[in-house]
Amino acid sequence: MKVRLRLGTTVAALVAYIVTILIVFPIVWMALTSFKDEVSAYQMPPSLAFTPILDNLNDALNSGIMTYIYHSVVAVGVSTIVALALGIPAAFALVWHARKSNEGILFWLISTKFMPAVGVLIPLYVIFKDIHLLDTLWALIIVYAAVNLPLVVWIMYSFFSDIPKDLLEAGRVDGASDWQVLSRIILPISLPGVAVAALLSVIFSWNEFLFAVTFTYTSAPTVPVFVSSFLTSEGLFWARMSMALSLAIVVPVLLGWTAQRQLIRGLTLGAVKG
Amino acid sequence: MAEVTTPTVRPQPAARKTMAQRSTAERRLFLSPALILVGLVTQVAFLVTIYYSMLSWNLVRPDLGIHFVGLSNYASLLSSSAFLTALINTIFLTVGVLVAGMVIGLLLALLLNRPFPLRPLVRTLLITPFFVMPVATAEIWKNMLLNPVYGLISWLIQQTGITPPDVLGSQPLLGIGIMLTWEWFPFFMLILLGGLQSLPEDLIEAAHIDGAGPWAVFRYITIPHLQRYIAVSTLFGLIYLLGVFGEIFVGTQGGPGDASTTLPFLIYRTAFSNWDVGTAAALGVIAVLITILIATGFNRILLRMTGYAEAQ
Amino acid sequence: MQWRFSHLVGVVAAMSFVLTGWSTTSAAKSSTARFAAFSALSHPAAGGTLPLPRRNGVTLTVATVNNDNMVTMQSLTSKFTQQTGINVKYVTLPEDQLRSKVTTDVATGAGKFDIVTIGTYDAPIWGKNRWAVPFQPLFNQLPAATRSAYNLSDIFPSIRNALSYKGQLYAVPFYGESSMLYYRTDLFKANHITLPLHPTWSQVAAAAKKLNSSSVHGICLRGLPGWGEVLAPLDTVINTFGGRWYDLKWNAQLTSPAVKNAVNFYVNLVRNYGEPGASGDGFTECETLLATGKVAMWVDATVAAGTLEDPKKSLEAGKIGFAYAPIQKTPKGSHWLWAWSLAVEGASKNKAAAAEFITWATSGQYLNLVGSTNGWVNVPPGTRVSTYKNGNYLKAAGSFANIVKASILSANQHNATLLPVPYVGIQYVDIPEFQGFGESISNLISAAIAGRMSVNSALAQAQKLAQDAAVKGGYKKK
Repeated sequence: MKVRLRLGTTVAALVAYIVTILIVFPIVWMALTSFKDEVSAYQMPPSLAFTPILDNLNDALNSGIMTYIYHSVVAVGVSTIVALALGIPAAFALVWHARKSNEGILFWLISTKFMPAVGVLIPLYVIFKDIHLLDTLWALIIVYAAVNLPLVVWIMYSFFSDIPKDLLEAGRVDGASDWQVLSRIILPISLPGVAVAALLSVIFSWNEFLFAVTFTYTSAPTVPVFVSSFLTSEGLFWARMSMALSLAIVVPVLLGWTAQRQLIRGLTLGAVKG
Repeated sequence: MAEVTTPTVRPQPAARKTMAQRSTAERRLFLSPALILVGLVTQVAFLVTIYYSMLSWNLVRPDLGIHFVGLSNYASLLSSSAFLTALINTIFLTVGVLVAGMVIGLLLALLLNRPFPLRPLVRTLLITPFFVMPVATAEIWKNMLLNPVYGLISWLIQQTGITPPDVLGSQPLLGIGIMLTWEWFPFFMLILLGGLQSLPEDLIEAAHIDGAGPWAVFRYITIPHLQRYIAVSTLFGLIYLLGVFGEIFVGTQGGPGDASTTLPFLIYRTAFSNWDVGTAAALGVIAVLITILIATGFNRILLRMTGYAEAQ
Repeated sequence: MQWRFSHLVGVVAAMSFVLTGWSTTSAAKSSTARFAAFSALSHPAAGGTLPLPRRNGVTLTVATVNNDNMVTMQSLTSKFTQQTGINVKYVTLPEDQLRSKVTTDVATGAGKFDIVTIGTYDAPIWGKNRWAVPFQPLFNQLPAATRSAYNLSDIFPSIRNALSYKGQLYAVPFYGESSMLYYRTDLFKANHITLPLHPTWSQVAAAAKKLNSSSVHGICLRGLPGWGEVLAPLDTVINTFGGRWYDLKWNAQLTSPAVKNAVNFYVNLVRNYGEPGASGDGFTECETLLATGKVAMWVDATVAAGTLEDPKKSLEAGKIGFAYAPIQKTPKGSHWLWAWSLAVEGASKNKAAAAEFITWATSGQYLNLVGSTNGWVNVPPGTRVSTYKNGNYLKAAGSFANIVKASILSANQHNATLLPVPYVGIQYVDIPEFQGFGESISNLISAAIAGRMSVNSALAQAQKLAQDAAVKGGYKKK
């Protein structure tokens, strides 16, 4: 019995390793190409052994990437904070004062995501132009907060719904105000949920491209705009492109790796057995 | 936690009304800011889009002016072959990626459900495609892997003596589908993994005692338990996949011909290539309507599943 | 049970919402590609610095494409600021994204750009729509010393023409190009092939057939969708085969025998003796293929010459030969004309300062500056006559400088077809709708190249699109 178990585990492990290597390989390949010069970048047969150069990295750093990073951090940070600040109380209200309209509200929140972003690009552009918010970080903050709010509400709603009823009731009996119940009792035990909501909001906003390119000019461009400006469609550019893309995905990938522990914890919060 | 028996207190009629009123007021207070922000941004944008959809407005022909044309944009859309092709492509692509992602996700979730050395590392690496920018995904797959002359995969195929196929040229939807499946399977994998890990061990043990083999366990216990997880991930996967844009923009530009043009890409082309603001807005509205149909339909199925689970 | 379910729903929603955000990505995609290769040294006698008046405290916003010439311009802008006190900020994007952005900006009245980088296709349209300001009046406000040192007439007439509308110049060229034939001299020698300096397409096809093998393909031709990608070379083939897009009454001619001949020729050539996967290849991909020795010939933009001859960027440097773009029935329209140029946006609040910057950036003195700072290789090519009289440049540019100059000078947008036409343009039809139906048609051609549909079927659909556009746009009178 033990031998069979070990054999099964070995097979499983081997399959897992091979699959993982295959899946992750494209990203690794792109990261490696960032450090090649243009000619080696697209040479076939490919060489895993090459002398890495830092030219592409230097170019990227010298192109003022720090300003873009700063804009991204502000736009993403503020919009996420706003989304959390508005979304957590909203989700709490839905659970704490449950009504029949809950389902409708939750569905309406998803429905705001049915329109492809391309569809509202020109309308939103014209609106922001009329209220003089073009090329400001505020335009991005408002849009990102509005787009991420449904996400925050949904996550927190499900986390709050998990909380055992007696905990909630205890707060109600004690005569605490809504705010106190939320901040003193509910929030501290829902931190994994908040972490998940925050991390996912950050990742989405960080990667967001279309609105960033359309609404910003010189005062507020973010990292995805940098990627676009760093790529050139004219001339050999594979290595440079790889570097730009590699830099662009570093933040979301790292955050995603951090978040996945929380995600798994969140998903299996109810699974106590085994 | 010790059981707390709350004594049932019958509040006076006047007091009960105040409590209910207070409850509604507090609920409103907590909900409003969020709903207002989302409402303002999305609904205003949507209303403006509906308004634009009834205009004849070509951005690069200011000499033609802007005219109100009612529903004629919609009429010409519904009779255009480009729209029909885009719709069909969108459905094929969405369903294809959904199924592929679900199957691969399920298989990998089953794999990750059993312990083996380095499992946490494997899991971390496997979800990475999920967080890579779609632009990056498309560029990597298009140039470095699938390009028939200097792509890596093509080179490998060439070593076996077969002429490498021009995937993005001859089967563009398939090529995009491969990219999207690579991006999306971690999503399904994680959900299903959560589902598998919430499966009660004693249920399985009981089945084993009853003499059920692994396949029977899988079929009669695992799958039914996962139904809800599958349904939910399908719903949200659908909503996103219906709106996929970046991969097609970089990967095939909707081509060759109309072969990989989906609704979102058609919107983009109409707005920024034909500069036909009115028709593009109409397309957007139609996309919303279609998604509402699908999502509502799915919601019904979801509800039935929840009911089913409760009955258990 | 239910709480776990809703919990799951919540997180699933979260994850999908994250990816919903990613549906909004767009990307860099090349249309017409021009890579700054060689450049011209302006006349040394064009003298040191261009005198320019000071305007302190002004900031200009410039929209530009991301190619080497523009990058160089950005790096040298500090000199301009030092001299005039004018600050300059750049918005850099790939061509089609840039066009989208500046068009949206000017058409919706946002007007946040002072200077826009537009091409020969865009300039007349911008002029007509009054989106750009005529350059001459602004130029005339500059001091006499500036104007004579600048020498506006030194700029190629054909390009100045292409950037005008109703006789008024709306944009000034930053660099210019035409198209030509590149080939591997060593492969030609080994296969005993010679081509004249003005080859015909039949000769080129024969050579491609002879040279074609599984390791090195006969020729590379664009097949990438895009009115500035596959249609650019295809249109020159249509022109030189005697075809045209519209007759004088704006009837589309895409199913005429001449056009059918031309398109069949192009598609068959690339399918039989060209690179595989051609439907995904634009300027950049073909340049890569030639530079890595995967193809033997290439017909495309003149700006690639420098890269191909640069040993740091090309494995075949030193083995590249040059010839004029092939002709067939008529030499008219056999090679295209393109210039990236700078224009003052109509809504700019700093028109005078903008005109100053444009004057600075397109002057012979600027070309000198680039030459002395970055090396002659990096000076923007194809704009000024004086460039091609310069000994230093001719030394650096070797055997192709003359071909480039002659090609640009002889590329006439108003006379590019065998039969008369109601439109202007060599590799495009210079009407605003062309971006739309041209793009769709390029997709059909790309599909034909990929073997997904027959040329006849593609042209039949293209005919309808072109005809509909002419009617809807009000060109074709009923």
